[in-house]
Amino acid sequence: MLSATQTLTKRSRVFDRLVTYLGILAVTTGIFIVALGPGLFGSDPAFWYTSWQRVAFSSFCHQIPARSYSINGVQMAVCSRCIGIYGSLWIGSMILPLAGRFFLPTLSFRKQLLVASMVIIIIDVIGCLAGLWTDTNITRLITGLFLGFCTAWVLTGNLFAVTKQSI
Amino acid sequence: MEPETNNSVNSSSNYWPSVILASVIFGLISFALTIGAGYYTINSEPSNSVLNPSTIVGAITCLFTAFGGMLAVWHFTREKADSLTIGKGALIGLLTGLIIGLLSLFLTNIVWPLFDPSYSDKIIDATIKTMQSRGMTQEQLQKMSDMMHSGSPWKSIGYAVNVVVFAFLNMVTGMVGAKMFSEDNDQ
Repeated sequence: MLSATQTLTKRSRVFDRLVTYLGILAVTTGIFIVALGPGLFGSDPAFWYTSWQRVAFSSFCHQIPARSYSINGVQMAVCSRCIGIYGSLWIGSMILPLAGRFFLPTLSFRKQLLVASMVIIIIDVIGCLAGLWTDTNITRLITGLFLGFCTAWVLTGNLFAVTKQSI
Repeated sequence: MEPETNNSVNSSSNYWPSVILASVIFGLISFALTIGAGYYTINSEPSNSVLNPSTIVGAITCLFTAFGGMLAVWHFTREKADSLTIGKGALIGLLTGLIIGLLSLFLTNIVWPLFDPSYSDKIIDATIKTMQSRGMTQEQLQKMSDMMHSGSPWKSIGYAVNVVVFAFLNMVTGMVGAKMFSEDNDQ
């Protein structure tokens, strides 16, 4: 039997986790929508450069047209790799906490996966710059998706997981 | 959230030195990259080539400035506390990102024009030439030019959102940092 204090502590912990989860979800949703660029709102391609979405991400991404996807004929605010990161971070934030109830690898494994996803991107960039291979929007998107997914898993993977403490 | 331990008691100690240190380092790097890429654009011939110094720097530093939050958390866990909660990591990352964004904005748009007052005009001219080389029609170029020279608030809104994005992305890396470097979060 749980005492009243233990019950309150448990409820408080669940509430804290829920607030953290909703915070992560709100942030990743907002970032993803802005990263999709002005084309999402049917803007004229001529206004891409002067769009606030482009300026908002100008410090984080090279925004090279040839390395970016478009929506309604207007270039996104970030490149294909970055949209993969933000997209999978958003989708992962929604799905992974629930998936964590059924299957959850250890945190150290998820950390290793996150580091591996970063190393893959670094190797891809260096190999491409060295002329060893040519990456495409698809390969950049996939490596970005992997990094975002791993980040979401590290952050939210155990928010709703059944742990010894919660039993 | 995470259970309190003797180590995590220390996490209430002052995190500002870590925040300031990471903010200054990444703020200066962000400023240097922005100005460097700006002058490269101004001084080079308009080109749509993928492999030039500006795009190489861009490709390497892509998302780099989002890691200030992680650096601040790493420094905090190393200097002040062995463990901290994911929420504390988020706070440290958020504050770090906010300061990086504001510092970079201040240096690029307020301090640098004091040294080179024509910097902004030169960037606009170089950008229009670059867009021309990318096949934009004369009508589209005219629209873009009018927008850039008008008093439209696009730039102010963009910079404000830029600071918010700085804060949010560094918040995410701060949370990841709390998971990566904190001994408390191993479950």
